[in-house]
Amino acid sequence: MNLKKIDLETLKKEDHEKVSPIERREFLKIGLTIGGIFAGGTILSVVSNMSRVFASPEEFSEKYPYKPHYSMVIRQDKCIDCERCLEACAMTNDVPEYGYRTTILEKEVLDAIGQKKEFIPVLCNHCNNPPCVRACPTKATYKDKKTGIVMMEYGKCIGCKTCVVACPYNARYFNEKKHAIDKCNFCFDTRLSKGEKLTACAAACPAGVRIFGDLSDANSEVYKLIHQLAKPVWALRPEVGAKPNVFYMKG
Amino acid sequence: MKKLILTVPVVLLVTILLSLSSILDAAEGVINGGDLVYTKPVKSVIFSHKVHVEDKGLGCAACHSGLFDAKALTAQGKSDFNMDSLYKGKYCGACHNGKTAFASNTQCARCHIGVKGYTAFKTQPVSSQGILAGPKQPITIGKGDSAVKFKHASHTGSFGCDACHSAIFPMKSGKTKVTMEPIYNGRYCGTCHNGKKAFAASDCTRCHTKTPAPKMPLVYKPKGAAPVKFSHDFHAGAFKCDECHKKLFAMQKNGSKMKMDAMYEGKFCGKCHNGKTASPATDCDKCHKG
Repeated sequence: MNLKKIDLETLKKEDHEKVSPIERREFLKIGLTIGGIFAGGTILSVVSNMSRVFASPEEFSEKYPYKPHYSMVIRQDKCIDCERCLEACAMTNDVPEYGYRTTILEKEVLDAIGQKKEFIPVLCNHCNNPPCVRACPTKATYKDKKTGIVMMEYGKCIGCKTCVVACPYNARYFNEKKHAIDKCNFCFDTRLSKGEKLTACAAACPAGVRIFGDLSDANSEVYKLIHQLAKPVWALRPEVGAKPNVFYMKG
Repeated sequence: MKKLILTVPVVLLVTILLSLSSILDAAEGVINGGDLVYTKPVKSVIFSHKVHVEDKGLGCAACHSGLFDAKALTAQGKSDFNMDSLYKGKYCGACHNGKTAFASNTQCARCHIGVKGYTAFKTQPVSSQGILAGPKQPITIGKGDSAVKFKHASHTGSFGCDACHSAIFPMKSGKTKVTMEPIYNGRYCGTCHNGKKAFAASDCTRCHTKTPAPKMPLVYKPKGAAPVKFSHDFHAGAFKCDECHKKLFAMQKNGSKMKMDAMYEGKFCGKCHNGKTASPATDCDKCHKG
């Protein structure tokens, strides 16, 4: 994939040519306060669906100084529901049949031309502003200060399931064996802490749907995909304001 | 003894060059192969014969002439059955290249129905996933009363398409000139119909249902003796074709050089007409009449 980081100063689009760089910057600032949709409120919409921009990556890393800042980009249209990711996840993380850490949703678009079905992989969005963490009465779930991963401390969990209700992404389930809530932790205990670079699901995907990496690294694929302008990038349920770290795009 | 010249008014079973006369229009009256769901290398991909055959009007040979074996799902057993091959124009990629049909590197989920699609497919009633194939109407081989109607349906229950196509029968109407001689030699229908795998090809009436024997009598006109009328109708009522053909009589005009001496020795008609099984061959005017 040819990913070019486009400099705003050189960006040319019809209708916008008369806009001076200063005006453009002002517009971005307005967008920053009004939009505030994506990670850290710093990704915003410049031209409706055409392109999305990080106003200032520096500002973003100041506010969320995770290193590495784990993130996932899901190239949604490539998903073929082979469910190898689900198998890999269940095997790696000992996920029982009645629950899931990640799953694939199905969406029918009946009036679409051609392909009428879309598969949407979902998992814990490891939000920068996680509602589940705020809801937990025992601080069993917490945002890891180093990596930004929303983690569980199973011993502290009393199984009240408040976090299950609070999660806007339906990413939590009650694990009977652990007698605690279980959720995706980007395979931190099973893979990342052992030196693996990818989560089990990302490694198992045959279609290159799940791109996993470090958002604080400007050379990582996730960074490039999120900062490119050619294709729209979005997150699920932005209105919740949880500022997720899982992004979606097509192509 | 004079030579008896066989005149066979209606020569059946052997000398007629049978031709596949029915036109196989793939888009019409064909039971298409149903929906196929490939599970390798990923679960799962749907191929709808209906969409390709009925909606798009493609003939069988569009794919089943090198691109895909006629037997369902054999492609997924091959190691190169993957997206890379498709991009290089193999398998589906022969058409799904962005020119003839949508490119195979776009609209993934149009073919890839995934595990959810696979589960839904498996819970369908069996009839709708049927992998029957071939034209609905029987294939007529030959002409007139001796014509054979071949029913695909009675064969596809036990065999995949590739048991016959295209090694034994090309999938093109009129392409195969079927005669009995090669069948007896193990070609065409004789590949299976040899009395071992399936009933023998010499069991004529199993296929040639309409005319087991010519209605008209065969007339032999030997020199110096009264003519003989042989009634096939009468004899076929009591015997099967293969009791006389071809060990006693070749199924060919002038095929058997009959002599009375030979008959007295138990050959030709003398095999039965020996005074035991049937009237003796010495009873001249029983046959030589007029």
